[in-house]
Amino acid sequence: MKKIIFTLLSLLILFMSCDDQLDINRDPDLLSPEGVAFATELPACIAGVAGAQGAELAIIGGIWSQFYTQSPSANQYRTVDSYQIGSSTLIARGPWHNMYDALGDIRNIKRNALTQENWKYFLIASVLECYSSQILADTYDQIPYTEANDLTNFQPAFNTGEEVYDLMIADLDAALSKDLSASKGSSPADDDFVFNGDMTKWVQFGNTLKLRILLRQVNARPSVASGAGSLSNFLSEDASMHNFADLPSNSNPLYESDRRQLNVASNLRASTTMYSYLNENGDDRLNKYYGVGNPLNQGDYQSLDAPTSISIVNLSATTPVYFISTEESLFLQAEANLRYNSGANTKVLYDAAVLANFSKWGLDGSQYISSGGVYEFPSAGTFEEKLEAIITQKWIASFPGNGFESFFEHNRTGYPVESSVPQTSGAYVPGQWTYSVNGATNGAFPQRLEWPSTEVVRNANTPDVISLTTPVWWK
Amino acid sequence: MNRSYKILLSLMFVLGTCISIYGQEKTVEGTVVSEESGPLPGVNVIIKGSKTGSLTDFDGKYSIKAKIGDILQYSYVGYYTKEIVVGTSNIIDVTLKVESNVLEEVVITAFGQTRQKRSTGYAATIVSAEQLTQVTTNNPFESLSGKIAGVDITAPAQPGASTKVIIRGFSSIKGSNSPLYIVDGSPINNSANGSNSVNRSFDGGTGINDLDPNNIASVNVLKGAAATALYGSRGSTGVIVITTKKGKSNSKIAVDINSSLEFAEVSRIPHMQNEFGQGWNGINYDGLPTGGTGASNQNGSWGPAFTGQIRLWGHIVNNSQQLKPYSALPNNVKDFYTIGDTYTNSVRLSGGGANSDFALGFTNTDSDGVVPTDADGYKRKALSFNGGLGNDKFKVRTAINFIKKDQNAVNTGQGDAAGQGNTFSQELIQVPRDISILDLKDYQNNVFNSNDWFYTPYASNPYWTINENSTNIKSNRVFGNVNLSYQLSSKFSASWQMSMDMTNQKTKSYGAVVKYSQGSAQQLLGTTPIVGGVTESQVERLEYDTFGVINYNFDVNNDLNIVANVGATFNQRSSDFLGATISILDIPNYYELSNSAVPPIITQNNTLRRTYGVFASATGSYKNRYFLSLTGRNDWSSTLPVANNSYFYPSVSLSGIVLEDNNSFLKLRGGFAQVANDTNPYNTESTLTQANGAAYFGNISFPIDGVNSFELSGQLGNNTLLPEITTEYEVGLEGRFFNSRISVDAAYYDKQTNDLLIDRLLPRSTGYSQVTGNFADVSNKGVELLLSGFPVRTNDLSWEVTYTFTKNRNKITDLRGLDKLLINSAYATNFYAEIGRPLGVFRFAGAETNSSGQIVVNSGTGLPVLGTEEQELGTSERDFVMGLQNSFKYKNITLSIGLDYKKGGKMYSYTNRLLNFTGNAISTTYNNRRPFIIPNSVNDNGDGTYSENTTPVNFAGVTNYFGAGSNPAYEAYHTIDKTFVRLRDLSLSYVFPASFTDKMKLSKFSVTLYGKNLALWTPEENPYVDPEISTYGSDLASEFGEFAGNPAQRSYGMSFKVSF
Repeated sequence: MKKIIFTLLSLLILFMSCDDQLDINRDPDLLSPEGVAFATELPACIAGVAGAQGAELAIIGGIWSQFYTQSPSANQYRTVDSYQIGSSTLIARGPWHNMYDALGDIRNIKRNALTQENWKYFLIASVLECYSSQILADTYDQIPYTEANDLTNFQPAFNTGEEVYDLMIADLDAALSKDLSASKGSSPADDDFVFNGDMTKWVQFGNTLKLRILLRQVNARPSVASGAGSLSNFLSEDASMHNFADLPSNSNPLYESDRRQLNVASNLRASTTMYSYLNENGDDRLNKYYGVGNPLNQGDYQSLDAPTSISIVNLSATTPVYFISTEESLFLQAEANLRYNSGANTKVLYDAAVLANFSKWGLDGSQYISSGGVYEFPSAGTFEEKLEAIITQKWIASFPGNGFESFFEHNRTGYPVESSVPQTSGAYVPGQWTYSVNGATNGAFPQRLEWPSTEVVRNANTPDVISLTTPVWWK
Repeated sequence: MNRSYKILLSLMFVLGTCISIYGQEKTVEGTVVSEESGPLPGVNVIIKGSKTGSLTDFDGKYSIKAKIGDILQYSYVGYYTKEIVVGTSNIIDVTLKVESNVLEEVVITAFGQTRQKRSTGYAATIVSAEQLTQVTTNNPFESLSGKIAGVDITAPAQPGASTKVIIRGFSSIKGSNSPLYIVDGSPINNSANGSNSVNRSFDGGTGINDLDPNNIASVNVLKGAAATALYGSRGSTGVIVITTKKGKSNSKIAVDINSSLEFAEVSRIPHMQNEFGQGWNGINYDGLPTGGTGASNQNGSWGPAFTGQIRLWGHIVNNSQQLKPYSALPNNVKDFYTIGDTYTNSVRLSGGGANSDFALGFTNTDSDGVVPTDADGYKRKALSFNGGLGNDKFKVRTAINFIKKDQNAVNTGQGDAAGQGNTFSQELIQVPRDISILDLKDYQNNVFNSNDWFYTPYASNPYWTINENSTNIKSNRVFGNVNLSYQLSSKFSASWQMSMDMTNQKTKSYGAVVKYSQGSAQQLLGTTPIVGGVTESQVERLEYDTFGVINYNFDVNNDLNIVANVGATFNQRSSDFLGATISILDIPNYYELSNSAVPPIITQNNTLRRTYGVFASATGSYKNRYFLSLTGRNDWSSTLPVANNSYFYPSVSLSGIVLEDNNSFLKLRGGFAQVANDTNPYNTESTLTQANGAAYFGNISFPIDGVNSFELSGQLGNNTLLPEITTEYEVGLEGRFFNSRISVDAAYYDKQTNDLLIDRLLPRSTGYSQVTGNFADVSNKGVELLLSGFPVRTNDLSWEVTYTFTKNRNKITDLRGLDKLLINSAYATNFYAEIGRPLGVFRFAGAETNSSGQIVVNSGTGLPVLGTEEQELGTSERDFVMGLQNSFKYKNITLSIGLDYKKGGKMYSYTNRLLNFTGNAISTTYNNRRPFIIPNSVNDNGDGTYSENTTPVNFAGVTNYFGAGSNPAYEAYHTIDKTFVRLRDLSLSYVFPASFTDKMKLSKFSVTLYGKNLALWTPEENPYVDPEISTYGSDLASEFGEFAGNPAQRSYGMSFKVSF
């Protein structure tokens, strides 16, 4: 008996000296990140950016761009519509969380592509990096850029908005200067949801993004912005994620979140601002954008109007998420042409842009831009009138999911102009932006989001809170 | 019994007797026997008031010289002392009665070893089978709240839901704070079954719910590290040692039958206002939007004050509408609940031969809670066998338990229109105060109650939710062990034990499709249809544990004894989970995974972990009065980085009995110990997971469009993990005075846990959400006190009072440079671990205030402006926990009353949030709902100055004031005081006298009437919920509070115990 017990004990001890028995701490259900193929990670990057801009930001941007407003018969977005979004609500944190989540994979591809000299994936990753960083910088101003997504640094330092802008241009230039024909290793194909591996279009996306980055600085740094005049080879088709289906968790994120996941699918109602402008101009996009009913004044979620009498915003599960649409590319080119190339080609570009947006809705827009049409380009007008036409049409074309872009552009250019009277006033001019009926910021329009409470708590380098109504650096 | 030993022992007693002989009067002789177990050796027999004494010998015989009229006092530890006056007779035989609470004075220490309780240098509480089954419970710990000092036990709300047991405070943030449960020497699995979040969740209990209280002989609660160090890593949060019932050798077969029947009713439901009815913004159908379909369609009581007038209400269907008086129905929610019932039947056979014993038990529990239908049904069948065989040297013992469970759980949390629909509690409390919920029951034939025409688009019929949605858990579990032991020599023995715990569990949850017909009210009002869904999952959990130990027991001389052991242990735990979810059901009322055109989402999760340990311990005792124990253990864990996976931890404890005489006993004890703890598997390496683009309430999930993708997991791997080390000092005393009329057991402990493994949440700009690492230190200091006494104790009547007091002070002492860490949150209320503060602190960025503390309000609406700085709302830490038990015994009748008082601490309540939003809460009747100016409020002049606010919250705005959606600052009031006093249980039992049982050929027959959770008092701040309900499981996160939790229940029962 003694023998048996001692044998058992010594067996146990033998077991123990065996490190193999303890070297098992690897989750069998998950992949190891080492040597992962670019094609495995790229779709996650694209869907990550689409999710980050396509839900919270689309809603905040769409409400603050006055496409839509909170329904009085529901509550979901009241804090957005009253400019009380704060820093700790899910909707306030989402854009930051989700964009940096996507950037983690984007920058992982970029690092690996640089080591492997795979310039194709290096370019794609660089364009996506700068595209998403610009949204972050325009939303939050100062953001971690140089030290972000570094797994050895838990407290990334913040760069100023201006620094981020310079770094983005430098990063885009570095990627665009690589010889794509000398790219080593795999080439993107169906993992590239945006262009299916067509690298010439990624070059165009990069150029168009540079154009947007430069134009944003017209007020803050006119000399830097003027570089926009010498760019070329822009996007002539949509840069978008467009493979959504009407299935749960495979849909356009705005539709998925607002329509499929919430228990009331009628939170978003037509805002008087956009509605009245389209209506005033007999714009056929009106019926595409909104369901039957009357619009609601911006922010009037305590209205006693019958909920069934207020128009609900139309959304579709299969609408693409546009990064830069054809028309946005054309509007940007039109503005650059107007500012830096004597405006010779501005009308052509403007007309093409407006038509491109009408055709997205299956409509022919030619009557609107033709001579005497409501949207005819004011060729004889002043610079400001021309700029207003471009930015106003870009605003309309940003519906439904790119309201954050028209919000930035409004803050940059002042168009559409802000109304001095409420929408209840007879003197209200259709299309002018009005301060929310339930606005809580003493008449000041929002200009940015506050840094999420999660970042404030976890990152000691987060600057002190800057109010929602303080403009970002480029205004 | 060895013959020579017997002679030796007798000699010793004779010797003892000789020494104490003084006088010459006359010799009194006799036998002292115990009521239960025959002759008692070693009983102190003295002449009262003198030093003359004697001891009984091995056969309980004594002799003493005494004079007529002397009082002989017979005393023995664990028995009531008896006094008898010497008369003419020279023979006095005495029967001593067992003092119930001190009989089982044996503490089980690690690896099957036992020690006399008098020898331990640490706090240990023993709970007897009698205490456990005084009232019938499904779960052995349900009734122990407030009865064990140093332990905070939270009883489950529904049959089969989890019980939270926390010993000496929270010492882990990431890991489990549940104690380790040891059954018959081997660990068992205590994994949680359920999901806890703000989303659709359920509580299916934890592993200990499978234990049958009727099968438990005793429970030892080991609280401090000195008591638990040998149990290894998992003992760092305390150990609960459970011994199951065994048969007695050399006895004929005994049969015990326990049977009980219990009825339950709903206990705390929210107290609500009864002054205002259905409507919004102060108006109802008079001016309300209706979409052309009828009167008020609100899911709240924001209408005008009740008038009693008969009014039309609800939608117009086929030109008809319903009528009812516009008056309050104070019990509309209460009336919804039904009477629950629980039947528990238990049979046990036990007995044994000369070298063997066995016990075979079976218990059937069939319970249905207070929610209508069997949505909260709980059925459990438990079969257990415990048997031993052996001779003087070699013994084999085995215990095997088989448990079959079939449980329905009522979902909590927030519903999901894109999946399995709404949850019941959330729907129920949104019903306006004037609507009869009972009358909503028939939604099949009464069109007004149907989904299409239900009176509001914002909530659904609670009967639909209960009837058409379901969560069911079925499990089969086997656990048990085999122990072999061998007496190698008089000094050496060895034992080897092997155990297994295997659970197979299937969970099925589904929610019905809700579609609104064209032209119906809900369709016109744009209510999102519910697509329906099914989730089926299976999990297998397996724990394998073995240990071998060699023991050494040696009497160095008459005074000095040494007990030592050395051994090794191995533990392996694995789980294998596979689940599938579909949504968008095609065919209504058909709940199988094939019923959808959308591909199912498959979830898979495997885990495996191993621990090896070697350990040694030694205890020296001097004169059986002074004791010194040393232990040491080294573990190797697979969950730590391979290079860093070994860790050692020691303990030392010292105790001395400083006073022990006929009337008094006092032991002082002190100890120091360390316990090291590892972490969960798979935190050391980074991974890639299947990609998912988060999008507010939605996701872009892969595969999409035929393409799959992987992304970096949010969990960053950390290959520098170290074990977390708890160092604890404890001092205490145990005493019994005045002939055991007063007993005290007190402890003070100071416990420091360093290098706490936590999930440090990373700033999202890193691209990761969290990393596990040694990022915190936390301390727990506390006192625990048990006082008991007999204000009255005569032969027929006794009154016993037991009081427990527990106070624990928890403090985060280091957070590696951070000042706080988020543990849990709901809406904008956050729950943090914060430097210098107890776990956890509630914070919320509420109303902005100026430098003089005045509330800044919007000059347009009169509502508070939201500030950006988070303000503290309090902590979840309790000031103290106390329990008071009173037990009155008159002859065969016993009446016991247990009260429980837990003071202080905050909790978050979503029920509160929803009731204020819907205007059902009493707080919403503030100022009779007339416009008011927020007291002490100012307007921001925009230039750094403030002027007095004159804008009232207007008539319609009062509704907005109480809704956190429109007045986010109101969120601050959702965190409430969780103090309560509870009449935990009351029981009245009658043991039939021997004269009756003998006639019936029974050995014991008793009947008990009992009630559980009979009354609850909460402070005014909390008219909403029973503060012990949580929807966040049974660990640290659950301290946050509740999110649409289900109510608790009150039960009344009757049980019979028969033995023959």
